[in-house]
Amino acid sequence: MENEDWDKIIKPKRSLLDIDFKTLWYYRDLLRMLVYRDFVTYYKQTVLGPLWFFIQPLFTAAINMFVFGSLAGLGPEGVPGFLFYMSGPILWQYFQDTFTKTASTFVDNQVVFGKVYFPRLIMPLAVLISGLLKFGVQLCLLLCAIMYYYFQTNTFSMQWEIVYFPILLLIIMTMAMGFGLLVSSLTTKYRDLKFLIDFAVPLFRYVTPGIATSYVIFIETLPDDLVFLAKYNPLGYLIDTFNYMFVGAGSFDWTNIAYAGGFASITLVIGVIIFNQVEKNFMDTV
Amino acid sequence: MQKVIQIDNISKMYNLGLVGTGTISKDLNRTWAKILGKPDPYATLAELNDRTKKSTSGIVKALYDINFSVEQGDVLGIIGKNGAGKSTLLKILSQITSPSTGEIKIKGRVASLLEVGTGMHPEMTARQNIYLNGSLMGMRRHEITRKLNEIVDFAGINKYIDTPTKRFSSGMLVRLGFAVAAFLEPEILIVDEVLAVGDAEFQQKAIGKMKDVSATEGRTVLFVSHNMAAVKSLCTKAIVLENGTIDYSGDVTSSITKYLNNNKAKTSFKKNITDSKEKKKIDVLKFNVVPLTGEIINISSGFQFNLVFENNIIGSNLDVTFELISEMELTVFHHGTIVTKDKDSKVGSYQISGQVPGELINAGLYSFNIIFGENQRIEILKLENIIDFEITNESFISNSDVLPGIIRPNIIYENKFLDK
Repeated sequence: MENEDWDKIIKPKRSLLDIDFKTLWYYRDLLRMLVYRDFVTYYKQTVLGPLWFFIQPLFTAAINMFVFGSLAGLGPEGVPGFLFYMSGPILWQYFQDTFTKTASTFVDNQVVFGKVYFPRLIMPLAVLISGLLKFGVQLCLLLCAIMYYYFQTNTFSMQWEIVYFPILLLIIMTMAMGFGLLVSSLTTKYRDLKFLIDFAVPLFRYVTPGIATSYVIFIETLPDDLVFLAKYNPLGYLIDTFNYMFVGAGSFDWTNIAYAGGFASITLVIGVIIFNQVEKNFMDTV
Repeated sequence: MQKVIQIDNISKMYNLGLVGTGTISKDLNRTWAKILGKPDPYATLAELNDRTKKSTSGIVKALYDINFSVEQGDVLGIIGKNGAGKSTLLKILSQITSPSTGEIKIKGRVASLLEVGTGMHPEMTARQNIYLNGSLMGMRRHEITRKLNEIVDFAGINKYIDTPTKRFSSGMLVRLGFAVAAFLEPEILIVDEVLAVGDAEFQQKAIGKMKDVSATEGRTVLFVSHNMAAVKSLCTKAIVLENGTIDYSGDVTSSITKYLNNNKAKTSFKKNITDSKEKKKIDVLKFNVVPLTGEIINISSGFQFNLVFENNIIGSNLDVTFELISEMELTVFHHGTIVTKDKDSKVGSYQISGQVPGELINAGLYSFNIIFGENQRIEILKLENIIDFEITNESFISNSDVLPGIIRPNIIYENKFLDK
């Protein structure tokens, strides 16, 4: 009877890298249901329903084109402004949504987390994937717009480097989740961070190249003291590369992509480790 | 029987003084106060949460040195007062939080039911919610599909399977949630007081289902409840928690008796003269219960309760209501009298006596609540559990056990043989 084989041992401490991938995989159906829930309930009881997926990027593009393109005169040369002001914000929006929602994982889900156990990492993963669905829909819209311009002006804005788009997407997902996990672990103790994020993230988009204007013009416009903001901002490189792939306004440079990729991976690893430590006892502090 | 849960040395400390206050600025403030040698500016907030008396170090032991094991097929009740550590223990067992010391070893799949219908989304249909809730509880998709019909039947919502659950009544939601949980098929099921909701019929159904699960399928159930009737009818063993430690463990009947005895301190109430500094509207001076005949209160003796209270309300209709509560926390009666009928209450003491006839209430432990009201509308004072007393049993025909039921009236039978 003594040395029996126990299925599970609950202990006070958990080592840093003790991440239970087996259980995570077992709960894949839950991940699926959560994504499904987000998708089904997102626009419930709205008149326009899923049309909102399209309205948002179209209006954002129009406003951006007016503010940055016409008023500020920052619009990129040689490419249709509307396409440019649609592509950057779409990618940015995906990052922002995923990041802010992941960052509030513990606070938003404390009721469920307090009642039932499942690998907590499922929640941010669900956010990541449901965001991806919305992003995919908007990307299709962008492709439609690109085709429209092709038939109108006979200029095709996509570059062949678009084949590397999955890599880019993976990096941005990694980065959004990494930052989100880091912040979510800290918000269990300090709610201040939530307020910081609520206003800082939308502001941050203005110092990210690729949204208001292309990377090159952005660097030129910035005062010298602030150039570092653009230079070390991995997100700027990602959006600039994305713009290049789809609209042809931007740059494609493997060093920049590698920098962003490295940055994202390190963030994710640290984020997951801290998240994994916090998830066990966060109920006591949240 | 083999052990399926082994709990060694489990403790859970809550660090009252040091845990974050919630904002960085407050934390900094506290650290600064510490450096200056001043008292913690937020300590008063934390002290209020204090449940035990050993918190001079700023640490509360919600659970301390818990050791026990559960064998396969056991239905273990966990009973104790509020704050005794029941919920903390369940949370540790279901991995919602981790213990501070010790180790728990578990064999088999665990499902914990600390709430029914967790995570259900009001905009989704019942069917979608069954899948969502089921997968939250750790069921695989194909398992849910296989049991979908049974779940819907058990919840009794066949008609509404494709209706969004926001249109459901709260009772339907509870039934739906419990139905999903009932078909979880874990080896170990941990249940918190989820049965407190839902109508009587459903509670019976739920208890029956849990009995089935343990009896016929050899599953292990851990059940926490304040409802002694439910614990008694469901569990085979029980542990009594008090102030974070195990006070008693053994078979269910003796555990319940032990728990009730722990709480039973006073059989008559007398006001402590020293604590009468300010004048209250109503102040109970004395309350006791005595048998109508003989020396002890038993089934046939009946009993009389006597209340003496001081009144400071002038010119009102005072009324007093007595509630008799059984050990299973059921209200046996809720009955009262108007003390001053013509708006003529005076300052001074009043005495009220009430007689409950013999051959009416069954044996058991009972307690009294007293509610004072003004003009039959305003509740002035409610005293809960003011005294505890026992109605001792008398054998019925040749059966000396306490018979089930709340009342034991003397029913007059007439038995005849009728012709074929």
